[in-house]
Order: sequence, then structure tokens, then C-alpha cells
Amino acid sequence: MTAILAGVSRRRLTAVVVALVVLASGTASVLGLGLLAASDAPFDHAFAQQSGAHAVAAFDPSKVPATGLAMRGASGPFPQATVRPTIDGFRLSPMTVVGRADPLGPVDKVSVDEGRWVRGPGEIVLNREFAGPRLAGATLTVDGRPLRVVGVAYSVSRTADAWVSPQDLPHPQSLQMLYRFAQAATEDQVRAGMIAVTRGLPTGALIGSRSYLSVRLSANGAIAPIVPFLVAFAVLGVVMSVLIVVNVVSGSVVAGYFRIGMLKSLGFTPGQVVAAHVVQVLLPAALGVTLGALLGNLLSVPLLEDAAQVYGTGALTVAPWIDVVVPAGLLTLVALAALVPALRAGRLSAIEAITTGRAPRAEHGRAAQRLLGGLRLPRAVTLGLARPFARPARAATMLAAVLFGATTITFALGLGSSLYLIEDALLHDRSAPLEVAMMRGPDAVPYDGSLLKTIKDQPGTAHVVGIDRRDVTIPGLSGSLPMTVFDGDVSWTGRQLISGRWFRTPDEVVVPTGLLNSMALSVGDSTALEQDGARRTVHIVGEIFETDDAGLQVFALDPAATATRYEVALTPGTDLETYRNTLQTALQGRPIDVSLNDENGRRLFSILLGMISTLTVLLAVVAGLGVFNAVVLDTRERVHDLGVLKAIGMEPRQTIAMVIAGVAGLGLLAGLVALPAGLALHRWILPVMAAAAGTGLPPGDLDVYTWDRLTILAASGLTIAILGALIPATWAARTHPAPALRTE
Amino acid sequence: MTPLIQLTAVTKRYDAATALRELTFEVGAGEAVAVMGASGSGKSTLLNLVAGLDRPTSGTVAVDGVQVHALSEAGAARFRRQRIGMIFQFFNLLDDLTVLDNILLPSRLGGTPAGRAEIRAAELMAALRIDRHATTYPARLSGGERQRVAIARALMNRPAILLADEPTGALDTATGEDVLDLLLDLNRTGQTLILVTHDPALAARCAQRVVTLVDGAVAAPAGGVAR
Ligand SMILES: Nc1ncnc2c1ncn2[C@@H]1O[C@H](COP(=O)(O)OP(=O)(O)OP(=O)(O)O)[C@@H](O)[C@H]1O
Ligand SMILES: [Mg+2]
Repeated sequence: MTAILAGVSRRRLTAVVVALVVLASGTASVLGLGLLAASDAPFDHAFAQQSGAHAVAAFDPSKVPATGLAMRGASGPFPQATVRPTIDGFRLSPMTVVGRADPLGPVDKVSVDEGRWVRGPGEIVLNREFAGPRLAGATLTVDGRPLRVVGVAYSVSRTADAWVSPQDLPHPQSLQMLYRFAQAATEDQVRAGMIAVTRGLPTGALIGSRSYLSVRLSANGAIAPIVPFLVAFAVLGVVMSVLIVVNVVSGSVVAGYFRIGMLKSLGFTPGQVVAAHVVQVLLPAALGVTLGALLGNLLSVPLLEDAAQVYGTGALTVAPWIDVVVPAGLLTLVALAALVPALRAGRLSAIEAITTGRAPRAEHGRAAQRLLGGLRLPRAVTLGLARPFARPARAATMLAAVLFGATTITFALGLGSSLYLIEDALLHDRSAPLEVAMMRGPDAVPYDGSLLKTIKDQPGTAHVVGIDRRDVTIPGLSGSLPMTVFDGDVSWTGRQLISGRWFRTPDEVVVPTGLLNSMALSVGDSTALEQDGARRTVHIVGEIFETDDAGLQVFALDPAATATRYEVALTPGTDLETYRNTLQTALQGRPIDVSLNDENGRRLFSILLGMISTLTVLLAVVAGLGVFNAVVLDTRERVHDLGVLKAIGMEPRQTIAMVIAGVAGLGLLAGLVALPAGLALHRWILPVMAAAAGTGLPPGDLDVYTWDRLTILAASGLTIAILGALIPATWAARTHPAPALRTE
Repeated sequence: MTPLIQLTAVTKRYDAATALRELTFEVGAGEAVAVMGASGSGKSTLLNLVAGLDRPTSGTVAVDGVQVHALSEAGAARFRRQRIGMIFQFFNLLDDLTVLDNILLPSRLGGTPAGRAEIRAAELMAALRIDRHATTYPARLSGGERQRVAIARALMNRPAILLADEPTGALDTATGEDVLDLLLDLNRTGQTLILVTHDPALAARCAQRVVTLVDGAVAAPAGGVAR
């Protein structure tokens, strides 16, 4: 009677474990694939969703009346003006404001993220890129008139920084028209489209137009270097989940061999036995995968919300195909993982199955006991340590589970740390957090050197470098490229070199991987550079880590350069906001902007980190469940020995120590193997992924495994194993010995 | 003199069955008591309660001044290690340990210094004539030899009480006699012994007192306390 009861509850627990493992794997897979799918051309998807404007054009209202612009299939004309709003007396940067009564329309269906659209005069809706936390619910003053912020919206086409009611712009500087064209894949097609829609308008009516392709380039440029890493981790997560599911499921079926033998001796056919076992695993797996998919969708909501913001798209959701593919895929996998050992069991004779299912490999266990018995360790510990040798197959299963988990943790920590350094290099907002820029436009003032003095004199200034941006051409490369010219040392700004060194003279330049590749150049080469018609030769002395403009850029030194903006680093302990406000006050009345480096890039990093840590935790849990499952099977099988040990005086804590010692060795071993495995994965995947994004990596960004981290990581396998074994160990300590002692 | 073992009004109920009913039972130090009764009458349950392997539903179990029924799990384990030796019908040896390691187990669990424990184990193996099997595994031994290993293990920590649950049940008659002689020898040297058996002849031969259980209660107090 008790034997049958034990059998039933063992199956029930196995079912729970299978369900949990599949649940966690399902969650991880949905999360990983969801973010993966969302990261696939997010701009194009969002652009299609919003019926983005292929061309944004501005017309002169004095040359063409609004009625002369309206046309089918286009949005507009909308009144438009560039204003400098103030908030609490502070002047904000200039802002393009468009008067628009309706966020929808044939082109550029603006999505309202928060609040609502403007309903009448006195209200303003900010573009998400412009809206900071300080602006929510605030009142802006434009030309002395107050405008209350009633909502935050987003236009993929970036048609405005803010929208107001058309009545608030009775005298627009220009009229905005938003067009979509049948053909708009290339700049030429967009240009042809513009010519077609402006045909017949008076000359000079069109002030200017912008193609969506430039917006697309900058949007994609910002996420391009990150997506491959995301892909790598998502794929890793899915693969690890799959391996552990296979591992647990097949392990459970093997553990059922004894029962298979019993069923056969009762007259079940091999087919019935196989079917019974596959179904027994499939039922809990189906439950697990359903809950897992649900949880994955829930967990991905905040992640995708953030991703949507960074990608500059409307709301992102898990693609429906993922909710079909993940459950179907996992269930198929579970069925296969159960089928293989079940088929084998189906072929075994009843007696073979009973003995395979029951008899541990005593002889292996004995050799280990003999060796370990010599150690001066508590007996309970050596009893446990020898255990894996008695059940090599199960031990291998457990080892694999912990190995996967620990490898994932090792890789994830390295990936996270590297991404942190990579983001630092690309955004250099931590090293140079402040940017002081001179305004362009009608009220711009000539550079006079007093600005630099003001910055330098301000307490808390650690470094300043002046920056100018020029357009240059390189013979052999079509189009112009931006050249960033610094007037001094830049090594402190956080920019990183992949190879070579920084420039020391105006004849030396550093360039990104993208330019080196497209020109087949390498560090040490010379190249011609044309600027304003003048040609000179420069030496490439370094490869800079930079992915903007696909790396088609030049960075140079010119101590005599006229800076249009400054990057500033503060001395340690200086408060950024206070510094900024003081500087802003000192510069009051001058057309100069003191801004913090853009936070958007940081958000991207935090999304990635969120996803990496969520997946890592899930996979560690899955690995722990693998251990849990193996330990449960093992202690159930040893219930007799455990009873004997208790009868001769083994205390509960000794039982726990014994069971945990049984997995500790494996955990430690797995952790130690996972260390080089994770390191190798990191060393291999990161450069490959970077190359896929068209860039090299600064070698320092890969050196993230410090000794203290390695020490902690080395224990990760042990930690997973112990946590996985803890619950079944306490169960083992609590099981009643008396019934076990009566059976043989 | 207070008895070494004192069960007072002990009832043990399981979900389906009542194994012991208001049982009062005592054993003096150095006594050898045989417990008999039909299958399911509660003999093993009685031993389990004395050993602290199980707890009574009501009533008290006192052994050598220890309130066994009130011990914690860990306390009961230590109590068993120090004062109880158990022998079972099916030996219950650990297959992956050698004979010597099986015998050493109780002392190793209790943290007895290895040297002293090994001397004690060697003495026991010699006395029980299993010394030449020290490094053999239990599976290679005959039933009688296995039971002698189990007895050696039970005696390892010099327990005050030896509990034997049908120690000869799995042995042929001659081997069973052999094991029984051993237990009697032990009792003669002062070892308190409770022996569960089905066999009235065995019971009569080795015990000074025979207690028969019927449905969890003492049926006929037979024999009286000798000496
Ligand atoms: N763990 C348990 N759970 C439920 N019932 C139990 C348990 N242990 C014993 N019983 C029941 O208690 C009663 C007494 O059992 P016990 O093992 O003490 O009998 P016994 O006299 O030793 O029998 P046998 O001679 O067959 O060994 C029986 O009815 C048995 O079914
Ligand atoms: Mg019994």
C-alpha cells in the first residue's frame, strides 16, 4: 500500500517539477523571442503603423495660401513655428511647434502615450523625446502666453517637438505638409515625390523638406550596435531552456523505469507503457507552458514599453506568432524528450526495467565511499559526496543542468559588464556629463573665448574640451562625412580606442571601424581629406569605437578650432544639477545651452540589463529545478537507506548535510567548468556580434572578469546546486523512517 | 527501583488503524523481554516508540530517565545513537559501505574519535566472528553474517537497550539459533533486550518474560519478573 502511495506522490511531484521547468523555460523563451522580434527593424514597423511621413515639408505662408497646399493622401497644412519656451524662468532649447487639431489623419498618425491631445487654445502636447519628468503637467510660457502640458505623444516621423491647437499659432512662420509617396525606398524616389507634389506652386514657396530616410538612419544607428547582443542572449536563453527541459523530462522518465517494469508485469503492452509515460509528462508540460507564456507576456510588458520608447516606436507587444511557436515548440520538445527513454523502456523486459529503475550502481558508489572515507570529514558529508557515483547518469544530468545555469550566469555577468563599458564609450555621458552648446540661428553670437573662461572659472570644472563639427570628403567615398574636431585632449571624455592611439597633431586623425572597412584602410595608413575645396593628407593613428553614421566619420585635433560646443567633466563630488544651474545663471542672457548628456541611450542599456537579468534569473531557477528534480528522485529512491540511517541515529541536520553534500561536489565542479565556458562564450560572442554591427570592440571592454567577480562566479554552480537541493533535503530529513524500514 | 523502560497508557493511532491502545509496559535494566503477537498487533510500533522513531498519540514513553515522547527529531536521533541499538528482520545494512564502515556508522555520526571507534569495531567483529569480512560488502555475506554485522553496528555505541525486531525471521533455523545465542550471551552480560518474535519456542528460550500483544494491548502478562 505505502509503496503504491509513494509511487503516486512521486509521479505527482515529478509532474509539478516538469510543469515548473517548462513554465520557467516558456517564460524565458517568450521574453527572449518577444524582445528579439520587437528589435527587428523597429523603426520600419512603427513607421508603417503610424503611416509615417516620407517627406516633411515646410512652405512659406506668404507665398502660398493654405488652401493651395491641401491634397488627398497628405496631412496638413499645419501652422508651424520655432519658439523658445520658458519654464519657471528657465529658457528651454528651441522647439518646433505645430498647430494640429487632430493627431490622426492620412499621414503621421501621432500616438498619444500619456494624457490626451489638445482640445483648444492654451494647451500643449509634448513629443516624448522632448518631455522630461520636469515637464509633466507643467505650464510652459511661449511669447508671454501660458501653455499647459496636457499630454505626451510620439511621432515616428518626428514632425514636431510639440503640438498646440492651430488657434495658438495664428501667424505661423511656415506651413507644415506631411506626404507619403508610392515609391519612397531611396532618397531619389523621395526627391521625385517632392517634385511631383510641389509642381505648379510659386517659386520659393517650399522652404525646405526632410526625407524620412535620415530619421530612419539615426533611429537605426542608435540601436544597431545593441541588437546583436540582445539576439545573442535571447538565443542563449532559449537554447538553455530547451536543454534543461530535455534534461529534466528524460530524467523523470528514466526514473519511472521501475514502474514501467511493474506495469509490464501487469500486462501492459509496450505501446501502452510508452503512451502512458509520454502523456504523464505532456499534461503537466501543457499546463506549465500555458502559464509560462502568460507570465512571459506579462513580464515583457515593462521591458517592451521601455524598448518602445528607445526604439522610438508606438506600443510594442509580444508578436502573436511567439505565443503559438513557444508553446508548440516546447511541447514538441517535451514529447520527444519523453519519447526516447520511454521507447527504450517499452523495449525492456519487465525484469530489466525493474532492475534498471531500482538498482543503483553500488560498485561505483563503493569505490567513491572508500576514497572519501579516508577524508577527515563528517561521515554524513562523505556519505553524501559519494552519492553521485552510485547514479552516474542522474549525476551527469544534474551536472549538465547546473553547468548550463552557471554558464549563463557567467556569460550574463560578462555581457552586462561589457555592455556597460560599451555604452560608456558610445555615449560618454558618464565621463563628460555636461554639454555647453552655442545656439545656431538668428540670435547666434560669434565665438569670443569668454565662454571657455566662464566654464573654466566655474568651481567644479575638471576638464573642458571644445568641439567643432565640419563636413569633409574623402576622395573615393561618395558624399560628405562629418569630421569632429577637438581643440585639445579627449582621452578623458570616455571615448575609447579599439587600436592605435589618439591624435597628437592636426595631421593625425582617428576613425571608426566603419570607415576603415569601407575604405579598406588600416591604422598606420594615410588618406587624403578635402575640406572647403582644400585637400590635405592625414595619418590614421587610431581606430575609435564609434557607431553613429555607420562609423563613416573622422575625428581630428585642431588646437585653433572654433568650438561650437564644449564637453565638460566635473571634479569628483560636484553635484551635476547645482553645477548646471550655476553655469546657466552665469551665462544668463546669452544664447547658450547647458544640457545634460542625453539619457535615452542609458535607457537602452537599462532595458538590456533588465532583460539579461530576468532571463538569467529564470535560467538559474530552471537549473535549480533540474537539481531539485534529481534530488527528489534520488531521495525517494533512497528512502530505505535514509530510514536505516535515522534508525541508527542520524540527526535531521546530518541528513540535510548528507543530501546537500551529494550535490555540492557536482555544483562546485559545474561552477568551475562553467567559468571557462562562460568566459569563452563571452570572448567569442561579443566580437562576433560587434562585427555583425560593423564595428570592432575596444579590448578593455572585454576585460570584465576581475578576480573578485570570478571568485563569486566560481561559487554560482555550488549555489544553484545547494538551493535546488535544500527543499528535498529537508523533506528527506523529515520523512518517517518506520515505513521504510519494513520494506526490503 | 524505577524500570529502564516505562510506557504509560500509550496509544498510537494511524489514519486507518489503532496500533496500540492504552498500553502500559515496563522493562527493568538487564531484563530480556520477548514481545509476541499476531501480525499487525503492534509489536513493531512498540519498538519504534521506545526508539523514538515514532511518537505516541497519547501516553508517555520514558527510557533511562529520558522522556522519549517529548524529544525533538534531533534529540531523538541523539538518544537513539547513545542508548538504543536496533536490529531488523532484513538487516538494513547500507549496500555501498563495507562491513567495517557499516559498523562504524553510529560512532562516526556521533563524532567519536576514529581511533577509538576502530578499536571498538575490531573488538565487536572479533567477538561476532566477522572480522575477516571487514572490507567485504554486505551483498557478499550470508544472511547470518549480515545479521551479525547488524548486531555489531547496533552495539557500536554501547547502547543501554537492544531492540530486535524478528532478528531471525529471515534466517534458516540453524543460523537463527546462532544469532539468538549471541543475543542471549549479550543479555547475560547485562544488556537489556526486547525481542519481537512470532516463534513461541524462541520467546520461551531467550526471554525471562513474554508479553503478548492482541490488537495493540497486552493480552496475558506471562512469566512474571524473574530473578
Ligand atoms: N506508518 C503506518 N501508517 C499507517 N498504519 C500503520 C503504520 N505502521 C503501522 N501501521 C498499522 O499499525 C498496526 C500495527 O502495525 P505493526 O507494524 O506494529 O504490527 P506488527 O505487530 O509489527 O506486525 P508484523 O508482525 O506483521 O510485523 C497495523 O495495523 C499496521 O497496518
Ligand atoms: Mg513488525
